Amino acid sequence: VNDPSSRAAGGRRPFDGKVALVTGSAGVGIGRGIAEQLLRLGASVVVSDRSARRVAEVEGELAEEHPGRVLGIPMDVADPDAVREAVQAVGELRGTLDVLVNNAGHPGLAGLDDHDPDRWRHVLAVNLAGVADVVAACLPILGDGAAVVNVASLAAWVPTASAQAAYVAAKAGVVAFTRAAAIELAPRIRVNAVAPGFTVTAYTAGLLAEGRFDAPVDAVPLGRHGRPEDVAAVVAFLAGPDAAWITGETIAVAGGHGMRS
Amino acid sequence: MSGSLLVVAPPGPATAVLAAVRARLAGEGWSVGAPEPFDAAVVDAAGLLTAGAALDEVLAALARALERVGEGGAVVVLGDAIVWSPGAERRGPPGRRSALAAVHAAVQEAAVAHGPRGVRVNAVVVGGLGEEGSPPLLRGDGPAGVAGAVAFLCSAGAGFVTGETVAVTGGAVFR
Repeated sequence: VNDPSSRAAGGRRPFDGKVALVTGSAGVGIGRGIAEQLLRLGASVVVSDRSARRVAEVEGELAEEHPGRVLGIPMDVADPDAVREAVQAVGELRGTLDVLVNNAGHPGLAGLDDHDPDRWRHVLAVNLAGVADVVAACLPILGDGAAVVNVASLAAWVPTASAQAAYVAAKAGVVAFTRAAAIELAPRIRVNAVAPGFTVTAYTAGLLAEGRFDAPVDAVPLGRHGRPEDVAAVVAFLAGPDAAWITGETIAVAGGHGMRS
Repeated sequence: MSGSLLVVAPPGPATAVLAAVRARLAGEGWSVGAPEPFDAAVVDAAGLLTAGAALDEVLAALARALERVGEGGAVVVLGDAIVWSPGAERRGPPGRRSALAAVHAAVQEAAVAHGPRGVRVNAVVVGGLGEEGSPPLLRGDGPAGVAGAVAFLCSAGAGFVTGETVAVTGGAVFR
């Protein structure tokens, strides 16, 4: 609320009149936090997720606070045909997109000692190929000056759980894809990423409790775990006018954990 | 968020980047120069090195700035994309690239040291502004873009970002 990016001359918010699509945003975690942040900053937001039921629920919940600015469109990013159809619907109902946030992902915990080729490919399909599929499908409706923000992970360079190889490989792929897409789509569209460290959501708190994940808080210089709103604020920055000179970049949102050299 | 801002830069006329940063933060209500302890500091490490400061002088200036920033504050260090541009050593005085690399390591050390008191320390790699080096991918006002990034890193929105180095180069230079 004290964020200067939410303040602008004449009381205008930075995303007034803008349209954003956020994939994977009908859950309990980062995606929903991003959708809420962009709504607070004035955007119309298309909420998208795999479950049509969850999409309808979250669309209703968010629309109570932001009437007329929330649209729910179900989309399974692992299914390229479904992605094309969903994006076509977004275009028909909302016109031009100013912001695309590729947040949909799958943790895909699976060990190499229990390697399942189909599962490995599914984790890459959701976390990496799905990003490319959504970006490509959206190209015709992304306006000049639009911004794409991909949600990668600190795990791209600091794996934080065992049995995470497919996820880590996919997220490192997202970091590299972000640069390549930035080059390919410049100067019309900026493409950047965030790399969240361990972020507390209902889902990840459960993984911690089950001991499937180890995230010692004393490894974090700022002394706490991340929250969806921490990530959402950086996504909003990268999607907005203050990041106009940034493309191809990935910003870690990890409280100083796992800094790159 | 706004408050008091310390700017550490070489004497003399401000560069276009530093002028844009000052104008942007002043426009948001930051008060430059007082009161102390400061809520944020901008340390123009690249500018200090260009003006002839030695690496140890720049590191000492960063350490002094950190001491003068209060709990919950933010420090942003301005670097130069030359740090990620092998072969670009011809720009600037000899040793500039290795000195900048040391400054970035110092930013990370400071993030660890000052994290427990809630002070965030980040760097901006500035690039794509001049005639030399790779041309930027983007078109636009580079100094204003740097100022936008610095303003964000000083803000509450970057509250969980520390020890990070952000490329603000118009896509001219990648990590």
